[in-house]
Amino acid sequence: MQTKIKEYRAKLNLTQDQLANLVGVRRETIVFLEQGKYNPSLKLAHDVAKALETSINELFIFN
Amino acid sequence: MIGNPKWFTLRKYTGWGLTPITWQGWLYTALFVAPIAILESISVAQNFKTIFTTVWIIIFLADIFHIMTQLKKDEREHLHEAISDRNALWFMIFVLIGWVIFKQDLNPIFFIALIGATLVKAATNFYLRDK
Repeated sequence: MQTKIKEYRAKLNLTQDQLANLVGVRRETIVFLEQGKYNPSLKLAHDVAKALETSINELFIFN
Repeated sequence: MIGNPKWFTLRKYTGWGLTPITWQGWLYTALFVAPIAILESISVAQNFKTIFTTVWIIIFLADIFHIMTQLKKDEREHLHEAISDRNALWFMIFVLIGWVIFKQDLNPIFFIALIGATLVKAATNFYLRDK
């Protein structure tokens, strides 16, 4: 799994901490999400996509 | 609740429970431990010591349990906790069964633990069935 979280986060000038607070998870979870090492629940994927003003489809790429 | 969840973090690498991360957390821990230590070092009726210590520890454990329930975990932490607890449980089960086989010790407490764990697993799966 690859994600564009880092790219979208940069566009909105958000730090990992700020994004973590927005979606209610720890910063480490955002780190692992960005690295594609953590497969999130649908709810978390939705929350992250919403916080980054995009869609799940755009944010997560499953190979 | 006496203690504040912000004073603690959940233990990950040293068993279960809480670790103080602020001076308030350490003070809270010291204030709960100190009376027991003081009581043990002075001469008072044994009955009083036993009752006080029991009640004090129950209050302490209840408060710790309450704080633990207030500490929020995200989904990744929940998953990790579930996996580590499952692994710890498997280890305990192997030790219990190993003890029964190796020692030929049919102590009922082992069977209560094993049957109890089976029932807890069944109850949990029953509860989670429609979730």
